[in-house]
Amino acid sequence: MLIIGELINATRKKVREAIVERDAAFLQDLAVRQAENGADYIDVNVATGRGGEQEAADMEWAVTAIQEAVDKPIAIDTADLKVLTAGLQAHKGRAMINSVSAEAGRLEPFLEVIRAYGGIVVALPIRESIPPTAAERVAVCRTILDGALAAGLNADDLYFDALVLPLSVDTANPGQTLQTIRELKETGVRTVIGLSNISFGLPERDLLNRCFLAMALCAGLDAAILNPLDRGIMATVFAAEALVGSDPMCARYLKAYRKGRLSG
Amino acid sequence: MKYSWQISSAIQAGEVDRSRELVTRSLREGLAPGEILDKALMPGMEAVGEKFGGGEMFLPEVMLSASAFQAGLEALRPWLKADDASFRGKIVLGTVAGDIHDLGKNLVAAMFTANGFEVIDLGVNVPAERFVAAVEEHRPDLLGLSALLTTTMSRMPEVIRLLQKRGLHGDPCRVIIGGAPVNEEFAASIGADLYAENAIEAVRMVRRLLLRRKRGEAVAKVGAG
Repeated sequence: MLIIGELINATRKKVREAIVERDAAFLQDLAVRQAENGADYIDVNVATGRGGEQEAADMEWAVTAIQEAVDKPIAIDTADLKVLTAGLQAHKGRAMINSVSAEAGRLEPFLEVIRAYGGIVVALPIRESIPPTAAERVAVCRTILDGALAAGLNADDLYFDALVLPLSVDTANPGQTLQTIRELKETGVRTVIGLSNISFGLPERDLLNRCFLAMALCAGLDAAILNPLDRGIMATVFAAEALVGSDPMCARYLKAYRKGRLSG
Repeated sequence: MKYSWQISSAIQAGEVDRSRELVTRSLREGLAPGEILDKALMPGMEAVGEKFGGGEMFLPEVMLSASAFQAGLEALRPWLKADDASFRGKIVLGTVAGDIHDLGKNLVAAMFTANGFEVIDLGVNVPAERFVAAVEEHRPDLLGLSALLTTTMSRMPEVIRLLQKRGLHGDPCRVIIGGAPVNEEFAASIGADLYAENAIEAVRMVRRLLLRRKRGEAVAKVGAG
């Protein structure tokens, strides 16, 4: 499974301060530790609320600084085209774009920029609202896929977000997400989730996050946005991948065991 | 008051039917509607708010309690007189245009309900014009604006400008904003009156504001007398 490390996000206070104060060492350390613990992509969100121009400059700075320290591609996490473009310009290699959606007037300009720079895309099946059911989500994914193919992207370059909504708000939410993953897999595309939203508003969030991750992997999940420094989560990744048969001869599971990564 | 403890605990336990039945029974036995509201329903929801703030209760339980409170209130409503309506205050809220995130906004709505406010929830993706129309219609103490994206927080000043243009901003209607990308400096820069980092803080700040206003009114009355 592809792991996107979620920790460099400006909604976290220390990260916001590091961005505002241009504390490159702080972000670099956070990136290196996530990479060492299994992140394939380092998500970077610089949404400090200081305006598009400033955030574009922030993204350029952050991408450059992080790539000096770590040999992993970055997931440029923004809904602002200017910020995305600045990040892609600064990025070495193939970045991930987190994210595009089907909201009116947003898809085409995003796809245009992505075609120009290349990259792996996270696609949210959102139009003017969040579709509640799996069938509706899959239909919106189809629209995005058609747009992306028309713009010259490959289907393999897209990861479709199955949309995780909190269990605490509606106990049908996890089931809809799992069903979305299964239906998307049937159409042959790749899937991703942002994990931690599942446990919002409930105690012992780690427990719910771990269980849901295992269930999502069982449904066919290809990638997740999560905290790779959380040992329990990463242990669950190793165990669940072995259990669903995507870890031949349990090699990764056993390697993780020998490195002491499976025990709390 | 008879039944106050039972009604309050039915609300805290999220027992929707029991809350409705107990309120109906209280009315049949001749208890004053205003008292039922003040001494049973409100304290029940206040206890829920406190327990949620203290990490003893969790979101699904709070939502169920809010339903139990609503059920009791619906049974009571036909019998309430205007001056019985001892809501702490009234808030109109919603997520701004272009933004469909409702979680934080719903939580704020639940916490205000839990603290005895009348809540008018306009939903998500609400254009400035609709916010202002709702303020005009409901005359709330507060207008709450939510945004989760840096690209949509810029819709907040639009709402405030339109509110000001119609002469609706300022007492009684103050503006409170919240959401991940928003902070205190941003609130000040767009002319919002309050910024809250989370739902509990939002309620705390608003209660303080309304208390100050009440005291101010009392002082003015004494001064005038």
